[in-house]
Amino acid sequence: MKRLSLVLAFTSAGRLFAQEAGSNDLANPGFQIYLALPMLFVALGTLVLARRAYNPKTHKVLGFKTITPHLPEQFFPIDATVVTMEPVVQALAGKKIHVYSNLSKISLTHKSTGIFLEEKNYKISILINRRRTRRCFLQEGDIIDMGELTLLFSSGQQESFNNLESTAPPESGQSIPRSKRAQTKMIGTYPTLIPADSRKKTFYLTKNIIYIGRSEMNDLVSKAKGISLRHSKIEKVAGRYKILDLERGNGTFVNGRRIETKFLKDGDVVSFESVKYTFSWSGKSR
Amino acid sequence: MNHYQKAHLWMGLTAGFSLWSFQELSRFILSAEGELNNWAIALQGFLICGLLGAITLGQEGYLQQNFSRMIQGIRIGLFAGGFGGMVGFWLIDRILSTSGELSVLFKALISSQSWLLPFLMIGVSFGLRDQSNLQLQRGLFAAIATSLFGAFTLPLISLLPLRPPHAEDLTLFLLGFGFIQIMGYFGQFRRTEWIKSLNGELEGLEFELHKHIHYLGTQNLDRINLSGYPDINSTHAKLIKYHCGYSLLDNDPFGRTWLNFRSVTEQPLKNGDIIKVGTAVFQYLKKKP
Repeated sequence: MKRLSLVLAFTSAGRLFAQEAGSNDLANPGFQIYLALPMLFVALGTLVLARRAYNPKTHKVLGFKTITPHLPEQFFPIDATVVTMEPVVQALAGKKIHVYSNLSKISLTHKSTGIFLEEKNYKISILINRRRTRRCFLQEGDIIDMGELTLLFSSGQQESFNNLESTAPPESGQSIPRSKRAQTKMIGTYPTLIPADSRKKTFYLTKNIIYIGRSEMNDLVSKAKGISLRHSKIEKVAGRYKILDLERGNGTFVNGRRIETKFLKDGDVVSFESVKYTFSWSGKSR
Repeated sequence: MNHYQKAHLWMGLTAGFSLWSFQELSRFILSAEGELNNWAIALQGFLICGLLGAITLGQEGYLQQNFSRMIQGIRIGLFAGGFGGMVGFWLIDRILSTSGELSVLFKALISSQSWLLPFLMIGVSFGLRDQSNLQLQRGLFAAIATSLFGAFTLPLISLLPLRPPHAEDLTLFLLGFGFIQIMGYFGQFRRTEWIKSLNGELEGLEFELHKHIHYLGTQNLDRINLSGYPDINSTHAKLIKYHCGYSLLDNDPFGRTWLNFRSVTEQPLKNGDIIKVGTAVFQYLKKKP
């Protein structure tokens, strides 16, 4: 990039000088640099406009947005005058969409803490976040199903998780990029397969049956040399983990010995041709 | 006009203006006597078609603010387009220089074929980058359609009685603009399944599902990159294609995956399902039967 800009700078300067000195360079057809550079700026401008058009940052307003499959996306803002779901559904649902409920009996109450939705029909005909709910305060991003119509609620405020990062105190002195850290607590303790190669991730045995192999359909995928599509299987049997070899050609090894089936103990080294893992009961990664 | 078409319209203008500008710049840099020799034309082809390839393949990453994917696209596009342009331009220039005196129409017809190879190279690399047959088909269709468009417009402009002084540059603009538009049109050709983001920084964006496995996580080169959302791990969940459709799999013991607000380990998807991965919410959509 630097070289290109240097060449460009030198040649343009040389050209301007040559023109002044009366050379015949102006006979060269084309708009030359005088129109090329403005056009490049126009191109950069349209690049910015493309980004804005692709993902426009909309101002959050209190209301409902239809997210029904195969229906065009529409937004209906609500204010204090809207006290039932009737005007919302009239505005957002097409003629072919059936909403199997008495809409005048689904009330919206504007309270200081937010919008309170109450279903007063004899049978509950509304799902909030895919669960039958008779009454609740609506939250940002709640999904409301009414018959064939699906609505997304917008509270008019930015999502809370956007502010989490800035307000949360740092966990430790060093900052770790998001892509390289685990952001949530682990749900329980699981035995692990710790790879000998420190660049690879620790694998947690969270399932009862775990397949290991080259194919992407396996739970533990390793593309290393000598590993078959479905190489071996680890089963949880009565609280213990049993490894089974599924590949006769290359084989599965535990502590250097080729096995057909074997119960794994803490610290066992499981290897498949060129890849080595250490089995750990404690659930610690490394 | 939806946001996808609008964005492609602007990207088309970007391609058109930058190609035109590069044409002028390359002519300015390369030609000392006003005429380009055979090797200079090959270099010009490399610059112009490399730029077109970089714009075409890098635009998806740029529009979705996935910079790793954008840089990957730019590299592949620059190489494929540049190589195609270099060979295509050089070859056609050799043909023209050895064929002797020709009429303006024939000359324009032959020179319009110099775009065929770069378009094909960009189209093929479009499919190879995603390792998807469908993307390959789309790229090839778009390349052939744009080559046909170029093969008609260039001779037509050359036949105009009052020919504008920079007709070739105008054709270049039209080709760049047309290629991005046609790629945009074929980008949704035979689209059957996709997911739509409902919250956060990707809100409103649609991600087509055309591969056998799609990861939902913070991995840099994934098409669906959720690095802007908290509480998501590198390969948090995956979507696996079966004969009957896609299935959602929880892929990480650290965070959970929800389908229709219920925690799942593996669940087949149906039209309109709500997927929640960490804090990111998506809706799974299928084409109307």
